[in-house]
Amino acid sequence: MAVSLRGLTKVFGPGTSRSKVAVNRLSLDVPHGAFYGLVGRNGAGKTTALSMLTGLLRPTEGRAMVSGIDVWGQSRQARHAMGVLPDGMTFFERLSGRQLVTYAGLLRGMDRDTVAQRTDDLLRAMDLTNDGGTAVQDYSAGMRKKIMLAAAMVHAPGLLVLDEPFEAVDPVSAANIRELLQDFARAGGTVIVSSHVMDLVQRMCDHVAVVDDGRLLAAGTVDQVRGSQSLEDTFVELVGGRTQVGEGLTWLSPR
Amino acid sequence: MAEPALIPDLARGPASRHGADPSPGVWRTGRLMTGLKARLTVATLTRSPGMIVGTILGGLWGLGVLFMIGTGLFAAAGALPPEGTRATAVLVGAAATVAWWVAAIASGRADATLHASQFALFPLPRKGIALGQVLGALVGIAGPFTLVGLLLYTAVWRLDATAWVTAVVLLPAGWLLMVVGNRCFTALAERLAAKRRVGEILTLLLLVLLMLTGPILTGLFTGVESLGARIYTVTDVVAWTPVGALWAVPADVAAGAWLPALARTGIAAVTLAALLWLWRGALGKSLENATGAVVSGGGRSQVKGAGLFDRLPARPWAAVAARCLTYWVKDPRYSGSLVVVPVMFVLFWFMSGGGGGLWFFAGPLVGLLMAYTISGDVAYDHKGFALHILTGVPGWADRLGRVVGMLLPGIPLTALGVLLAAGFSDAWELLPAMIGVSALALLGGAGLSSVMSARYTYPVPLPGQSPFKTPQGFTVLNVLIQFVALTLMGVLTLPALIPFVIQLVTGSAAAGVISLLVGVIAGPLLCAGGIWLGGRWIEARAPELLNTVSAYR
Repeated sequence: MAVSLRGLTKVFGPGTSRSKVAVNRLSLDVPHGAFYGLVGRNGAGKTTALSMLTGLLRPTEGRAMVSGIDVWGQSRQARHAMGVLPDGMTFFERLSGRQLVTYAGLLRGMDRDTVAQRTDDLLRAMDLTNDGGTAVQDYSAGMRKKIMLAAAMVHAPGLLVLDEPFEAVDPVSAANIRELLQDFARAGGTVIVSSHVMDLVQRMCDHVAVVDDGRLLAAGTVDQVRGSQSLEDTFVELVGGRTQVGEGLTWLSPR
Repeated sequence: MAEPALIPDLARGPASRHGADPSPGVWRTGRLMTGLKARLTVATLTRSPGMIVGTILGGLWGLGVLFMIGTGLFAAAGALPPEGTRATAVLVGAAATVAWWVAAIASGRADATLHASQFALFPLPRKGIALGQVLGALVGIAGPFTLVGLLLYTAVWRLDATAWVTAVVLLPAGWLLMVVGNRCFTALAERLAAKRRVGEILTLLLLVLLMLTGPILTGLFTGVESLGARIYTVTDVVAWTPVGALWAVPADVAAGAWLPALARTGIAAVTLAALLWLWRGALGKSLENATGAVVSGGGRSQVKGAGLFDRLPARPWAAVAARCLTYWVKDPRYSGSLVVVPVMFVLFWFMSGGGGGLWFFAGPLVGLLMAYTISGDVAYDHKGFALHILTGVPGWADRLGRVVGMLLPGIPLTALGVLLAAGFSDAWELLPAMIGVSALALLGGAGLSSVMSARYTYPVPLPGQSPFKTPQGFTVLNVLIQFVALTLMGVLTLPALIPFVIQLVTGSAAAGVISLLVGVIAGPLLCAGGIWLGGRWIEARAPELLNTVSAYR
């Protein structure tokens, strides 16, 4: 398995009155070469779970393994096996785009020529060649996502963990990146993306896991999970909580 | 042919419900915004138990300072001749006004509470927003303190009932002048700071100016033996300026000089009107350009290649050093320290009157300052520290890179301090000892910072914020950490400092050599030890550290 999570649990503020279980005994297997979608509502625990997988957040309980390596035991090896696009994080934004990707490569101990070569390729793939010398703080939200994605890929990892990779990315770039990721998966790489855009997941991923309230509701191939319906309908059914649109806000109409 | 049904009929105008709701009036807007500001103030001051303790201590401190100023002014009225009282009143009033106005530029983008651009989406009248900002100052933190301060300030006129009554009557006008000026300059500074580089340079200039306030003021008032005569001349000039006119009116009224009193009141009124007019314009601009878009200035600066990353070795530690060094140059939070060092030299020169005295400690102090700066390094990284965790960079490489990034400007600056000290005091025989103490301060301090910042952090201004921004969420522990770090750094230099002092007292050259040896041997050892231990700590607790620093706001 490329990734296996066993009873992964995160409790924020344990033992206090504001104690909150963000991820609740989550177990999940991601096979090698899978393009895995992780879907859930806002606040379902997707980002918390992925942070525990990528070594950014220590689990309260449970284990996370990447290709058999324990993320919290042999963290250095596990980190080299992954490329990560975290959500809600910003990297060093006073660096230029090219500098940021170079920095990520050099931090991983790569040699200068390889880093320079791959940085050029990645900037081209992300349509950022002309902005390579501009400080990341002057980038738009979509450009930031793309440069962070490039920084996650520069060391050619076997596993990509991407938290909301397409948020704010323009459709052309998104299509390019999607194709790139699909080629990567076809060649045996493993991709995990989190999203709440069901259409995208249904079209792009071959596997999907549905998370709500910190728990795993369903997991498997996209076809297994959705059955004969669309993924969006299955998701809404699983998660529930649809308000009766149209009755609630009758006053919300022009004129 | 486009489908017309999809396009809202903009031409319908008033008949449509778009914007038909009555927006609140000027007074209601002012009241709402004042209430909002009051809530924000309470929320800021009571965020956590630690914050409440800090609030109480800070409040007591502030009241203590006000009380001291009040007592001073009260005593001044009795001790000084009438002209002296007038000079005190005018100069203190003018200085307080200038302080309020300058504070606006210093805080710049920092104190954005109730800033106009936040309300651009709401249909609020511009005058109401302005009213809300002025009234809001009453329920802020500095506003009430100033009001109390102004009340105490009137004590300076206690010997003259007429002047005192005038001062009390003019008090609201004085407060208004301060606050409106502050809001006006905040709005203007905001416009300027929209060009990032301009804003950053302005900030650094202000930092220099603030540090040099002492020497500049002393230079204005000393030098000539007849201090008294000079002060009265200065007072007479200040009393006709926009910031000083109002504060001189009570003296005029008491003396029955109605014409000057009227003229000065006029100056104050015109100033207030001008500020209001300027503010109105700036406010309008803020409301129309409320996206907070930052213009990076003409011809966006492009970095060629990978900048410093191409110059330093292609190793993880060197990459960290290159990144840190880039920040030392580009980020005002770091480059502020670099600007401060030359200014420190000017201060030393000024305070020691050429050579000797404080100068002897210039090198060690610069060393300590530089070393202390990186004790907040991980907090300065903020969320960026996640990249170091994700890439699995070894702890020692993270620590070493930061130390090297600091030493590259740190060693030349410290050396400059030592050389200037020896040169100006013409005390070259002290050079070995000064090198020893400075080496221990810089390198030993760097070692200590490497260990401290791997576990214990404190809030700092976030990336992109002004170095003047007071970070929120300080706890008692944070203050303790900074105190302990500074104390330990001082204690650390003692082994080299003591022989240095012995040499200063006895003139023993041997003591100087001992100091040098201690410094150049213990300094690098402490530095290496700090990098090793800090590296161990950071590897053990990196996620928790990231959690702590990324929660700073």
